[in-house]
Amino acid sequence: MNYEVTEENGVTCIKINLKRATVDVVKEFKAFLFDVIDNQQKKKIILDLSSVEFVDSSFLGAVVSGLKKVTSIKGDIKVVELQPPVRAMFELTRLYKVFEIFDNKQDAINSF
Amino acid sequence: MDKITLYVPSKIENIHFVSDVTEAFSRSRIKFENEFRETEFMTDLKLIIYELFSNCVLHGKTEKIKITYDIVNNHLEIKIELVGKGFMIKPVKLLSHQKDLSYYPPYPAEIHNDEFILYHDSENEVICKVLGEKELFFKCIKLPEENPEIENLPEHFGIMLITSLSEHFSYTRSEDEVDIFFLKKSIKEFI
Repeated sequence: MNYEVTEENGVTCIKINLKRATVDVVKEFKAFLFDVIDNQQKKKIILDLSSVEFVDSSFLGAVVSGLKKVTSIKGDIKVVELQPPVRAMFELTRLYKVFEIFDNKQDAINSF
Repeated sequence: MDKITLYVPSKIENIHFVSDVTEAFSRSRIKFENEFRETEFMTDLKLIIYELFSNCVLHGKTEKIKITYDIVNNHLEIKIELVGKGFMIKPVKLLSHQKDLSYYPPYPAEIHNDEFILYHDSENEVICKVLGEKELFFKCIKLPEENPEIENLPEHFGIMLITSLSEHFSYTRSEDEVDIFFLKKSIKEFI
């Protein structure tokens, strides 16, 4: 499974089981994320990127799209365990200014 | 001697192959002495090639894409050629004298030498200068820092990444309707 969902203390954690989170999977990921927000009505979301070695801008665009959606219903998406190239992408796009980034999942859960 | 050319079917699933070839070409031709700087270079390069190739596949109308790699004067040069619709200038923000229009080549004379904003975020703008009927030059400009607002965040970063991670990025359209994207990335600060 490319996306693994767990719940802890009312927080939904989506683990991305992909080495390269890129344009070829963006459509399915966006549909998955929107389903979690719209149909499953989850508002407190963590994206666990620990397995991801590389993200491209299409994938980040989908994450931004999810953030816009969830913040419009007073929720949030936080990201955890970024590998250096993924962290570099958040810095290049300045998205580190809008996403809270944590080194581990527990800290992210506690922050909600 | 350094040049290689790759012909790849225009399919999005080939993007990882193209990225791997780009990386392998660079590692075989550039002598890196610092592992950290090498990783930085490869990350930049992967970001550039993912953006370039995916946009060519998504916006092209072609069966194959030609990619040429070369090393010239301490720069990695990448040229991508495809039969396409032409690069559409679609500004995200208008200057006071500009009309809310999109343009395909041949670009009309009244916009030659004009500059259009193709990307805008809280810290960067990407400008495209129209050099002629079938020629554009792109550059990324740093803006005074502001705090971004979530609702105004861009969802497409490709052109910003390409222009901010390379020293030169341009577009030309040939007489036989081939779209040619050309970029140069400096090597010397990474070796």
